Amino acid sequence: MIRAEKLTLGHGSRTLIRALDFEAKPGAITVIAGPNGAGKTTLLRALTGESRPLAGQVTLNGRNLAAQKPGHLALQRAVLPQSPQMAFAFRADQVVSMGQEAGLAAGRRGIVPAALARVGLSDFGPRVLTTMSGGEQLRVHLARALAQVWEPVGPNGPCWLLLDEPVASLDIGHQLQVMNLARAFADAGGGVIAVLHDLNLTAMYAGHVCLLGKSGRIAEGRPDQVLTDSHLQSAYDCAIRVNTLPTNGPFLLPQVAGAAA
Amino acid sequence: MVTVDPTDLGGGAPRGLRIDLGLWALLALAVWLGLTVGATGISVPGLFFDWVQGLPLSDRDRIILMEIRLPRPVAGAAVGAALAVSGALMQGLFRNPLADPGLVGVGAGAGLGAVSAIVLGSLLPVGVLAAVGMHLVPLAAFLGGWGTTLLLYRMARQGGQVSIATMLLAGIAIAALAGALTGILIQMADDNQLRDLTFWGLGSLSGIGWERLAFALPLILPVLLLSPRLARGLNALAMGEQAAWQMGIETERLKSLTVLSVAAATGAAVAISGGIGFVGIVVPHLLRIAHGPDNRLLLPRAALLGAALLLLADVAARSLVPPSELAIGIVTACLGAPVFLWILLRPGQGAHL
Repeated sequence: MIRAEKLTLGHGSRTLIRALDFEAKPGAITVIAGPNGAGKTTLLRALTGESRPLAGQVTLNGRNLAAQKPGHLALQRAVLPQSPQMAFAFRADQVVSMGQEAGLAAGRRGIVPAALARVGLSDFGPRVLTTMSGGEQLRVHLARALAQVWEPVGPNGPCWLLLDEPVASLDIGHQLQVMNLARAFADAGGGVIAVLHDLNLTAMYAGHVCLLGKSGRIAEGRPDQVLTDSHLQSAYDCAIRVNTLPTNGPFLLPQVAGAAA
Repeated sequence: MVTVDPTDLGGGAPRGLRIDLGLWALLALAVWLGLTVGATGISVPGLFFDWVQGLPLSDRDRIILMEIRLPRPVAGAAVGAALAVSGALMQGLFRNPLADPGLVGVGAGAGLGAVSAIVLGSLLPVGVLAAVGMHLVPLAAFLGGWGTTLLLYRMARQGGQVSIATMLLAGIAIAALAGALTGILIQMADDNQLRDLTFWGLGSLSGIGWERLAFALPLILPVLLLSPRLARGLNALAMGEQAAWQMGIETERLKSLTVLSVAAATGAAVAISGGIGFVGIVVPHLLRIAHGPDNRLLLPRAALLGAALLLLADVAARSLVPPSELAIGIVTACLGAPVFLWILLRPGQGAHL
């Protein structure tokens, strides 16, 4: 379980998030959604332990993040950044192996090709990352994160995948592939927290949604509880009509959304 | 030498092994040439076999061998390895294949220190001069280079975090300032001092005895031996500080250790040899073309290739214009610059950067 209590976050004197309580349970995908500038990435960075909260604390599987070294945190959670960077001509398999070496599966054979196969890039191991397309690079970085938390449940509890807009640069086929990988990780007992802009994918895959607005959290709960006309209207400041499929829950069409007056 | 899983890394074991063997062979050849090529007409191999057979050496031969010939390859190897490894470390830290130790002010600071010693040395109290003697210039160069780097490091460190961008920009300002101060000293210098400081700037391995090595080696060798331990962190740093931290790297510690290592190794190398350019950029670059950017291979191999190439450059410097010798900085620049241009302008080089 990743839990934040009375979390206040900001840069310098600007407070982005005030006294937020947040909880993500393993076994399901928790989605952080909301408009640009609502503090989604800031919240995710606090959940990775990378930025220190101005107030409050974050615990991972019951232990305070601030008290743990980065090497110890890396055994329990892997992060896919919003726009991964790469200097130098590292090959895809070298990148994935860097992730593996940071995690509990360090030294085990066969994980690098298996991780590349999971993201559909089996033949890309010897390719230089910076010569690949943006979407391919992102999937290599996802394979790197998967190799870092190869077993969804470790000896000291569930492992976590933290994904910052994992599908923003992908085509629809690969969007579904990546979300299915995240769901498989959660189904196997791991925890997934994802920042998503796509509300339809959120409705399809999330077990739990935290909807942030310009001035704090608007709603939290199951997708059908959170993704309602009124919540979305106050979050995104535009008129949105949510429809519901009998089997797949809520969905929405931008065609029937109206810009705010 | 290389203890990494060949399935996960560049080229497979046979190729990696070939590169390692080739580098060791090149270094052995360079050491051999460094010992045997020289202006005094003695046969070092002959002396060696005499010594193995237990024949006594004449005083003259022993002095040439132990005090003149032997320190020079040792110094050349140490300086070349220090410059190449420092270059590789800087490139990893700045995430840029064109970075070199000059970016953290080592060169400018060492130059200011050396020129101060040459121009103002005679103003020092007699007791200090007597104690330091002929080591005043290297000592001042080391203190200048090391001090400048520490100053930059302090400037870039705010709230417990070192900003690489601040360090880069402050480095430009500090280098300009050090250059201006050096200029003032040059204006004050007399003709003999001008000659000394010009030659210091060109770099040379001549006149390095065991005393100077006893000062430089304890600063250089630990960096050569310990730098491979920074390799995993520097690899991860290629993805940015944030991603490296998320992958368990203590990035602040990594940055401090890297900067301090470069300051120690380059400071000591520049102090005993003067300004020798291009080794720090060309050597890591050649190796990246051979085996890719993995720092676990790059750092140990940069030490080997840097040592070998600087020794060969020194042999060339000594044998091109006998009985005089060229400044080694001229040789490394004359050879290094065209090689570097060739690397840059080859078709399809982008993937190798």
